[in-house]
Amino acid sequence: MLTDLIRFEWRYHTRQISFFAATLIYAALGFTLPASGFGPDNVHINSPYSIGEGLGLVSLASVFAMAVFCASAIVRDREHQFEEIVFSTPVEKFPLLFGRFAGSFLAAFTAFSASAIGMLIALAMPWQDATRIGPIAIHHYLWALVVIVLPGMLFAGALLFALAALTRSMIASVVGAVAIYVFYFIAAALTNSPMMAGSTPNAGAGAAASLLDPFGLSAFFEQTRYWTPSDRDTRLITLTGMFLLNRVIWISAALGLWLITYRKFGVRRPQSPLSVREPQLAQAPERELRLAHDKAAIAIAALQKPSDWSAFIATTKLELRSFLTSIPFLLLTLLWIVFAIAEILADLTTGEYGTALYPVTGFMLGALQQPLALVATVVIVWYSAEIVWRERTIAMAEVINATPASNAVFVLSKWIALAAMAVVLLIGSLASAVIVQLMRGYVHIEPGVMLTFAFIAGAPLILFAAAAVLIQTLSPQKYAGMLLVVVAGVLIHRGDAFGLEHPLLRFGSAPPIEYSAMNGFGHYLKPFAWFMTLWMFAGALLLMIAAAKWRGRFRLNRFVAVLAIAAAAIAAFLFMNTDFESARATRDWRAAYEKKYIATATWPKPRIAAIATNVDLYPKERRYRVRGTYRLVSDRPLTRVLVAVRRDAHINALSLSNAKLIQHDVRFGMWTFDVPPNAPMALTFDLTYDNPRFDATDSDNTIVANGSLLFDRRAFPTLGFRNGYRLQNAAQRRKYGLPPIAEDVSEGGDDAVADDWSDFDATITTDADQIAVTSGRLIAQSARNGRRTFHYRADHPIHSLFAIASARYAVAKAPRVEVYFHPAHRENVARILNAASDSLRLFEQTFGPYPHDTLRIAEVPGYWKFGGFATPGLIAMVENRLFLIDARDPRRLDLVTRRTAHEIAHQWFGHTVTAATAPGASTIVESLTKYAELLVLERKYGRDVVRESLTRELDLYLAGRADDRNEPPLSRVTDQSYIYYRKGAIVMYALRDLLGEETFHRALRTFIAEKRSATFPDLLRHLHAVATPRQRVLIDQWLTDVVVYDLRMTSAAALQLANGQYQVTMTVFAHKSKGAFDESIEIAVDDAISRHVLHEGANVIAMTVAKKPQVAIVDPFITRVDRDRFDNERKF
Amino acid sequence: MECGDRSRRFAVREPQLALCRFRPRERELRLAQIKAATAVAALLNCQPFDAMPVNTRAMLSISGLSKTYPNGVRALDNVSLNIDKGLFGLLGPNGAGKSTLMRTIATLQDADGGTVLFDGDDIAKNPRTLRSRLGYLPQTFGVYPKIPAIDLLDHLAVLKGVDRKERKAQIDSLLALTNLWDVRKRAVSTYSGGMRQRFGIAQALLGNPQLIIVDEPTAGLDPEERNRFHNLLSEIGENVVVILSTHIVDDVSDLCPRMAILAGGRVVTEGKPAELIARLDGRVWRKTVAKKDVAHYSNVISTHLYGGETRIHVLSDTQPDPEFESIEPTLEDVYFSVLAC
Repeated sequence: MLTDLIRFEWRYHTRQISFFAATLIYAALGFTLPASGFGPDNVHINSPYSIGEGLGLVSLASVFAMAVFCASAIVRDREHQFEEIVFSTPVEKFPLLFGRFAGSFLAAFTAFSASAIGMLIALAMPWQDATRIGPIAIHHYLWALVVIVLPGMLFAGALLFALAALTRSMIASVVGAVAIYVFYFIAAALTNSPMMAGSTPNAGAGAAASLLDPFGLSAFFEQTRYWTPSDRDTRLITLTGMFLLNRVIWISAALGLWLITYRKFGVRRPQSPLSVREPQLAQAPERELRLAHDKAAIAIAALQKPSDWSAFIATTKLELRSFLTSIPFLLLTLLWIVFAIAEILADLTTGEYGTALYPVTGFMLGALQQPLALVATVVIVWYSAEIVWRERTIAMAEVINATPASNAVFVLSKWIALAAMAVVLLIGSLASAVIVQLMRGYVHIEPGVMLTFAFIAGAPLILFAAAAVLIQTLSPQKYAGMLLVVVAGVLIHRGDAFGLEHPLLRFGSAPPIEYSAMNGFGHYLKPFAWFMTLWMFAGALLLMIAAAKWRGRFRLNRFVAVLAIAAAAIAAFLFMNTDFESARATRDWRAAYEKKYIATATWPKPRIAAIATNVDLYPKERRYRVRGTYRLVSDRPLTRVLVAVRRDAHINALSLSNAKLIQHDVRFGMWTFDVPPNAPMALTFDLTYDNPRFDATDSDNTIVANGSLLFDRRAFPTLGFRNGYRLQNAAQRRKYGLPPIAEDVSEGGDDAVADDWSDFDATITTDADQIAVTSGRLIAQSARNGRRTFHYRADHPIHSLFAIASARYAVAKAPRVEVYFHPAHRENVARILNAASDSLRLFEQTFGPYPHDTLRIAEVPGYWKFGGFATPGLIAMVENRLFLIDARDPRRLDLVTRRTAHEIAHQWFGHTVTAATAPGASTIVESLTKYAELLVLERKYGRDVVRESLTRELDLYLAGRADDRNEPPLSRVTDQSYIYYRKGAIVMYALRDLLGEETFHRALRTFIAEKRSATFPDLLRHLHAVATPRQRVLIDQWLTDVVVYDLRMTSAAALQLANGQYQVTMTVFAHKSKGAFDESIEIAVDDAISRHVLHEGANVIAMTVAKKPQVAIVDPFITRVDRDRFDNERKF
Repeated sequence: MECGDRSRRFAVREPQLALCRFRPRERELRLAQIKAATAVAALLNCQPFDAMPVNTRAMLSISGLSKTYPNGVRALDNVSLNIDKGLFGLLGPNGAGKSTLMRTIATLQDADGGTVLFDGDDIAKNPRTLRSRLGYLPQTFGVYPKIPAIDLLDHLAVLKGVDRKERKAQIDSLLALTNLWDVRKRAVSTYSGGMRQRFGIAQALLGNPQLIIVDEPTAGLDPEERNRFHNLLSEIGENVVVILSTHIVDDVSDLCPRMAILAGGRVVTEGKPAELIARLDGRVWRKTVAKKDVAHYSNVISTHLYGGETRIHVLSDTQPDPEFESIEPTLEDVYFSVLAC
């Protein structure tokens, strides 16, 4: 009986067109991930890890299958008016419900499993990189399907089945679908899942939050966070820890939902509990009835002309009413608002080191754009099936279609209803932003930003609604149509992964938009508006096609041609006026550059001894001109000089005195000169950059209306081979036959290339309302003819890494410090000034004198992804990474002071002593700076803040090394930020702990003072010089080797003594990956800290404390790189 | 025999070909039915209907309408009809093509060939013109949930283009006419079957329909309601074209001045009910027989149960045997006899 029902259900579903559509779609989704070289380069694309992650990701899209299969399994009786017949059979509730659920779930799961087959097929594709394919093991796929995919799908299926069964309505299940995504998003945000653009993992609370994810992805990432690449290639996810708990929770939830459904589902409940009493035959006398009839006849006699306008209004009202009053949609809106608030708060308060940002309207809404697009897309997918098919589903289509109202009436009103849903969700987003501002006590409502955001986020959704209406109109079947709408959504949002990179290829897309609080939506808005104009025409075209097909037959009218021509004309205009380079073309260019010019990388280069430049900025017009001269000198005889200029520069003039131009390579912007030996050289240049066209790839944020930032390397000519042009991704390098980059970095420090030190003189003109800043002393400024001129000159040669910033700045000053900030961003200026003054004073005492007269800090837009950028005497700080940090809560780490101190420290490490281009350079520039930053925080807030900071650094280091197969030591670090920032901070602080503060600082002072351009061996030499032989062993282990410690508090017991004090006995296990353990480590019992020499293995430590102890910790301030810091403490 | 050709074509060749789609047991059964019908047809004096004069002045003129569905079912096969003002009854067994014909006239689907002219206008070219003069009541229909009758009528009136001023008066009259006035504020989705059917009638009458197509309109109505509806239809039929499709032969004989019988996608007969009946005068014989003996008789056009016994109607120019009694033919006899043709 039960098996028969399940078999029937299975056969029913597998014969539907939607089953084949779903199978195909999942196979395609599975195929694309490995086909496009999914995952990090050093992990196989068919490693158990990648399989788990990939199938987990595809399972995010399983919710739709659940609607098509499980939810429809229980509502189809009603939809097809078959309920009475089924319910009048003697079938028991359990076999009926279970049969339906099991059969449909099986069908859904089968369709989903096609994704694994798609993944397997992708491995055989000819373009695959053989080095990234490991041995094929079918059980890896099965295991991932069972432990990662199945529980989440069971839950999604049970939830949608329950909602559909209990409400007997398909549309109610959309609430469930959105709720599932909300859980997923919250879990992903709280655990900083790699899927989200988050920053730091916070193991404790984060791990618990991973339980919230019904798909188990967050728990999957939680378990595998520290897996090394070889772990990922070989290990299967295990049913342990949070992952097991997560799976158990969601399977139980599925079971619970199922039981509820079973309890509450009334099979033989009256269909609608109505007590319809047939009205008595009208008692009205026959005459009266006749009268009414006559009236009707009169009315009927008058001939009417059908009015499409009133039909449109009436139909639209009806459509709007049908969802605005529907409980599912109201619930959905409420759910969205709650989620949006949670999402904004999570986004605002989980910044780096757990800091918070001010709720600035534009950034809040920006954080919502992606989830809004997802949720609204889900809503449109669901409701397009509901709305477009409504008349047919309720069997009213014949009556309606027999009316003279034109097809356009129905198509338009249905589109408006769908679009209105997206608009309601959009308004919900805006409301959430206002609510968050009220909650956080920062009310700066910006109606302009809100309206613009509404346009940016809303227009694509409204257009998508038009596409959905068309697809559902053309689809032969409702659920197949639903899946096709999903495909359209995926192509629009993720089309670039399928080769649809150009925004003109994706309906409703535009070049990406970036918001900046300083510059608003800036130059991004115009191309967006143009693209939307195009899509508006195209959308109208789609709706017209839908209208043409509405009553079944296909009748196009001539407006279609008009619209098509208009759309094509705009598309052609946009195509001609948009700069677009496919990712592939960029890679080709980079590879070709490297192949052609790599031989020149070893050519001796002249040094730039002096820079004299005139820079004219026209921010409003987004163009600038740089003119100037480099005086070049060389210690070695030269024959050739290579000059590089960005591809997008207009070259008015470029010449090298006493030299002969051999070749100007326009494709790569390279100039090759023949130079006579030992002749003085001057490079004279005159370049213009402008942006008259739309940019579909990376928009030039160098020059913007407010908040321009020019880097020397971006705007000015450079000498020699440009390393920055090279392809960085190892897999791509292999594909182009390029050697791995690490191999050609020289190992020693001898042939390291030193950075230049140059005289610097810059005259900058800008718009009259802007201030321009750069390095050097401001020696003159003037204003005339609507232009403002600033003349800067450095007192002595500076490290030639300079930047120019220009904006409508307000200025705040303290002795030797100037802060240039956006006038609306005043909140943190006093704190920045304080931090800067404190840092200057402390660093001068500790590391030596500050080399410039003034320290300038200038705010730049959030386009720039660095935390801060230090050039000699000028620090560029990003608005939402310094000026908009909400530092009001004293319990949060003071990131404002921290960032300020960090960038100021670079004035010593980076600009007083520079690191020659060689391995270990970043240890000098960044690790020491991290130490200096800690020093400022420690002075201001005490040692606790050090513990808190280093805890985070340790977590980030451990997470970072998990991704790296060949972890270098600090002495050889190149671009591994998890080493030079994270490990560097721990090791430098540990060195101070080892050597003593005064000794350590003395070593650093002599190191800085010794020479301008240093290498890692210089640093090591200075440290060795102040260390004892015993200390030297540890210095070498920490800096020139990779040693990981394992410290554990295995037991701790307290005994009260006769004098009231407590005798504490602890067992501390000590181990390190290399060398014998013999080190003095701090052990803390509550506030009492003492040092103990620990040896390999178990150490028994005894301490006496005055009060009843609470907690004992080994190495409380994280002076060692410990593989697991959580076992370092024990509570009594 | 006049209809010899026709009978071969209809009763023998095509149906047997068509039987291929049935399963063997079913096929046997059908074959038996067809054999019986063939015998009857041989006796029938089938007048070739397509020889009838074409009334080009008719309000609704259907000529050569054909439709074959993608699955091979030939729903309409060269159908020609001329229908004037007044009630026109459309009879036919299930699957005869009635619904396809009516949906085609209602512009809900296109035919493969042939034309339909209404008032001289080709409806396929100007579907909108027709729709603005059309009242259509499908056999089954649903309604938007939670919307009161009066609102739904108003909505449909708007779609039909009824003027705002006239809308209320019309809807009020129709609600009164269909006896729904007292429940006008209740959602139609909560109506009983009869009430819903009356609602369907009301909406079909909205807005000056010159052509009313009703499919099984009285299904689910109690006898009293049915009477009222018949009265209403015949009154309306004085001025407009009403096509009434039904299985209930009595409805047609009660109401329709003209009628047609459709079978296998073809019009098998057309005319005034009285004339069609008159053709069978003195040729229909009745006998009460044992159920098992039915198969022994030829030319049986119908068998009925009457008081638990089986009565057969036989078509014959002469009395088949003395136990047969001659009866007054009814439209039902016409219907059954013609189906065998």
